[in-house]
Amino acid sequence: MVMMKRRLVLNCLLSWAVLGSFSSISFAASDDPVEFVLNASNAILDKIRKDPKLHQADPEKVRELVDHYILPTVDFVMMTRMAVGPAWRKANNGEREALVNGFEELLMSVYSGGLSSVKNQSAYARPTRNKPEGKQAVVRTLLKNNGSADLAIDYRLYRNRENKWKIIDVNIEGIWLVENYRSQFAGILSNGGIPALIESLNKQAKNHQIKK
Amino acid sequence: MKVQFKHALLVCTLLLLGGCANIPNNAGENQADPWEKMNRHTFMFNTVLDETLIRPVAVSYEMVTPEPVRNGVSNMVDNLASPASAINSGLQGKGQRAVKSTFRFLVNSTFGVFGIFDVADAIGIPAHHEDFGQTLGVWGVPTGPYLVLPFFGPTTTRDIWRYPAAFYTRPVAYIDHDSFVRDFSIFTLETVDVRYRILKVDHMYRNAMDPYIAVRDGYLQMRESVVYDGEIPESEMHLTELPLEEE
Repeated sequence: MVMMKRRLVLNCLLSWAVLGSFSSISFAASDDPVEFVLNASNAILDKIRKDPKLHQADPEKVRELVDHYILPTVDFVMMTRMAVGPAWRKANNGEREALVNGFEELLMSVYSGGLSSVKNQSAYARPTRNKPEGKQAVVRTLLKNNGSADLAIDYRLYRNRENKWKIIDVNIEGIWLVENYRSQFAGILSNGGIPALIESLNKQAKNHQIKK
Repeated sequence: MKVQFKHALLVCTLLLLGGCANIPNNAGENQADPWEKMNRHTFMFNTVLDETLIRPVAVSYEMVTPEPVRNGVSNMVDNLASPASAINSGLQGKGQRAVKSTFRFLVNSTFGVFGIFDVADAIGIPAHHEDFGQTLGVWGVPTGPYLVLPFFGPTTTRDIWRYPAAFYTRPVAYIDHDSFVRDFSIFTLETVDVRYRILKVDHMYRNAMDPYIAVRDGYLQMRESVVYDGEIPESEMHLTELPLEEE
């Protein structure tokens, strides 16, 4: 009886592992925001560790990682709307698309810069008194670093229309990334409006390409 | 190196005379930053100082020293700050942390050979940094206006008190003879170590649309967070409300 139970557990574990390796986005399924964030970040860390090209921020590989691993977990449109603020309402569809693309490009460039520091870290939940209620949650994690200081990383999530959790902001050691861009955008928007912001985003993307 | 330094001096002087920082029309309207105009000039000065002198030194330091040496230096720099952390933990009523920081200092200064090895961390007492700015924050002193200091960088009228406090709580202040060479060497080493440690986040800075605002808001958020020891309650986070209803 005990043996059978053990075998059952083992089988379950095995099939789960096999399934997991086939469907890259299996981690996106969890309905618990903490579990969702931890599974996603550990899967992504693992992927980066195993791929030396990704480690060196090879642009094609980063694109692939973003499309298959990161896009299913985040909501770029919501992130852009947060960063642009009230001016979003005045933007037409073409401008909105340009804003989302420009901001995605910018965030990807921030993200690529961090890839080389991925070593043997793994993500753990940090104890918290905050309880995820309703449609929004802040998940607190700790990136444990063997040898050097641990990194506190928080994620802000919301439930989208399909009722799935999506990451909409990341906090590294106390600083919210999208909120930070929101203040930077506000200055540009107050001077030149939406067209100026789109232009700056494009200029930024070009700068980045030259530096590489 | 010498040429680079001369170059830096020249650029700095030019900046001080000319002041070519880009000042937006709405400078100073942000309540947290009434001195934005002056701050932007100082920020520009610091940026040039960093690009021409401090960053190149930190980059060369990373190139010529092996990682264990750099870690040893970082540990030593941290160790020199742990008496201050102990005192500030005590002032904030965090007794256990005060004891732990004191113990860390004693263990690392002796068994860790002047703090080169973080023995205390290995036996399960991790570092915990507290400075006098955080203490004032815990006591309820408001952040005050944002201020950019030449060389030292971002601070506020509250956080600026951490500098004199740190100066009088550093262990070398209690060695019975003064030595300018010793103090200057420690200061140089600390500066290079700090800059080396943040080389890893340079790409974030380079991806900023307005580096001044990115650093200002980042600094203010980060300081607010450390006053709560990184566990800031959601009610104090001041997160942007999500545009969920509108379409």
